[in-house]
Amino acid sequence: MNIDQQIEADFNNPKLDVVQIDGIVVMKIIKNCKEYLPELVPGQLLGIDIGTSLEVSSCFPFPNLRDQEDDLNEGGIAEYQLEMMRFLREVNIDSNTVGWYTPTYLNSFFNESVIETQYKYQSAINQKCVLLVYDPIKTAQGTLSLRCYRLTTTFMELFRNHPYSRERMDNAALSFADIFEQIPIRIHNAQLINALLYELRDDSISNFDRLNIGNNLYLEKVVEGMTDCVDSLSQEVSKVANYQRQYQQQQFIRNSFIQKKTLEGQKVEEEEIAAHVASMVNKPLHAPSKVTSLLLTNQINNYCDQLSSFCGGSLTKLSLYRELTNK
Amino acid sequence: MIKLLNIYKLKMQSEKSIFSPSQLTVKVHPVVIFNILDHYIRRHDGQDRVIGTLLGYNNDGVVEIKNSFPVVHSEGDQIAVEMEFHRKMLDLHLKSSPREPIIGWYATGCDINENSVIINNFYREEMNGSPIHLTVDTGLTNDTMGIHAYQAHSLSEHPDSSLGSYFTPLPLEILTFEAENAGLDALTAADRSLTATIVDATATADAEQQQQQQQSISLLSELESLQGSLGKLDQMLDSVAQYIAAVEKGEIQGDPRIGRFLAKTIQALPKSNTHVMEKVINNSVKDLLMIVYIASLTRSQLAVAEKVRQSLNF
Repeated sequence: MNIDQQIEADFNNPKLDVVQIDGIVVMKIIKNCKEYLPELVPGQLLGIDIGTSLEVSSCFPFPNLRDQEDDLNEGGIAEYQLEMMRFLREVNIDSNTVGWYTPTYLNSFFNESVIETQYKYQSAINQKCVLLVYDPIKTAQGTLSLRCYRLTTTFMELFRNHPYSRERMDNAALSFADIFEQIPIRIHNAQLINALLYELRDDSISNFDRLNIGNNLYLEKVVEGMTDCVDSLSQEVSKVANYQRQYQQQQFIRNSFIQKKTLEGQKVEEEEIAAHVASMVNKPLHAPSKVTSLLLTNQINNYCDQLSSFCGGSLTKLSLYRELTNK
Repeated sequence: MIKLLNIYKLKMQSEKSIFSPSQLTVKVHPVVIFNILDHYIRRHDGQDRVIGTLLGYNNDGVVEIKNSFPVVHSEGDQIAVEMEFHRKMLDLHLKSSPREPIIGWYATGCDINENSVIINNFYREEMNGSPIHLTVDTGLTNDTMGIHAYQAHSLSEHPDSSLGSYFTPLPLEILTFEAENAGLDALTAADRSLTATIVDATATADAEQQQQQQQSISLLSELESLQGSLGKLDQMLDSVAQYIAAVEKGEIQGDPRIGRFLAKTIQALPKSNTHVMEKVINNSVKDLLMIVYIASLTRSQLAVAEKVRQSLNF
């Protein structure tokens, strides 16, 4: 197998085991995110895919829309990306798009626009494109929070040869775990960077933020977010119940109409029934979208994960503290 | 003639009061150094050193370097800096972060040569001010990553004169914020386990292979990093205790500054009533357990909902 075939085979192979991120990308994401706070500005990841792994070696932020008072729309951003990549190539930086990153608060990123963007990346550029999610709040507590996601193959299959649409997602039997898959992250540093880290380690890095015992604010925020989600989910449930009631009502009208007509010995046309039903109820029925509840479920599940991991850590710290004071 | 000299003197004085070299301090974010090293690693074949533009701002004598980007240049018989490239890149950067104007330039290597003066003049014209020059020694002379900041001062009054300029070193600090600390910590943790495996690996042929595999390390879990932090804290306390013991025995002369600092630190510790603390801890444990319970309850609800949905679909 020559190298071209190998590359093509790799490109067509949807399997992705691990994402390898250069240290510089981590630092750049942290820095860019900090610059723009409280605005959450996404950016582009550059790198290369090799076999079943993906190497991310550089990144740059998109221009902040708030700062641009004039005509910077979708086209402007696309142009910006192209231009930036052209210039980066001149200084031998990888100019191959491998995905994007976005900072989020408390990992609340399960929404339709994220899915749509990620879908565009995976369908148009490379199915190995990933989304890096960075949480500045969690990171400020002392532990870097960086996760890597992409849409599952099941999900991508669903939209193969079809444009992205809400209806299609509604009709598919997706479970909440079928949308995103998490991909393990590995950190990679060049030797020179390692040398720098070795030097920095001695003086500046002393990270004791994570020894903080009480982080109730964070906990409150996550619980608050989760409660909001559960509230919205219950609203969705009541919408579904409402829909069901109205549907039954319409069925009842329909059946009684058909019965009446058959008793009179007439044959009924489908259009006639529809017209009758429409005249009886004042508004047509819309089935509530399943996507919203699916996404909410996903988000709640994510919150639960965060809560249990945070509580686990806190309980460990508290029991450590207790042991120390008892001594 | 004397009058002219006086004017010259006056000018010197006023210039000195504004640009007094000792007043400027340079603070650089680690991401800038990362960028420079990355640029150096990706340099063209046969290129000795790389240069680029530094972005940041001057805040009343404290220069904060926040970002940087590489610039194409060539040094040989003639020196050429692609200023067009530089301007375009600057434009792009200003679009995404308008609050970071150009503040200076960087070069790798440890010496400043004639070419540096020429490049410095380029930048002086570009930014209408005197640029900060940052050097990073990628050759690791003296086994350190020599990071130095300079500011050039013209030796003559006339800017175009060929008399040359001298570069005065400026005090330099590496500045990090919380999140950057956490990021660096995660990166160093990876580095730490890397060196550990290299030491452990036996000196056979597969040591190199192992090193290849261990080049990249996955992120540490929360518990592992907690362990790391505690270990470091323990180590620091140990060294303090050793120092105190040594002073008490009279082995070394105690430094009153360290003594005062230690006393201050101990005073800063909150006096905690064990009884009250016990209560507080118990309360937090109860809270946390409650939340864990709620989280797992929610999760099981989700699982039930999922099952119901699946059975309805089929």
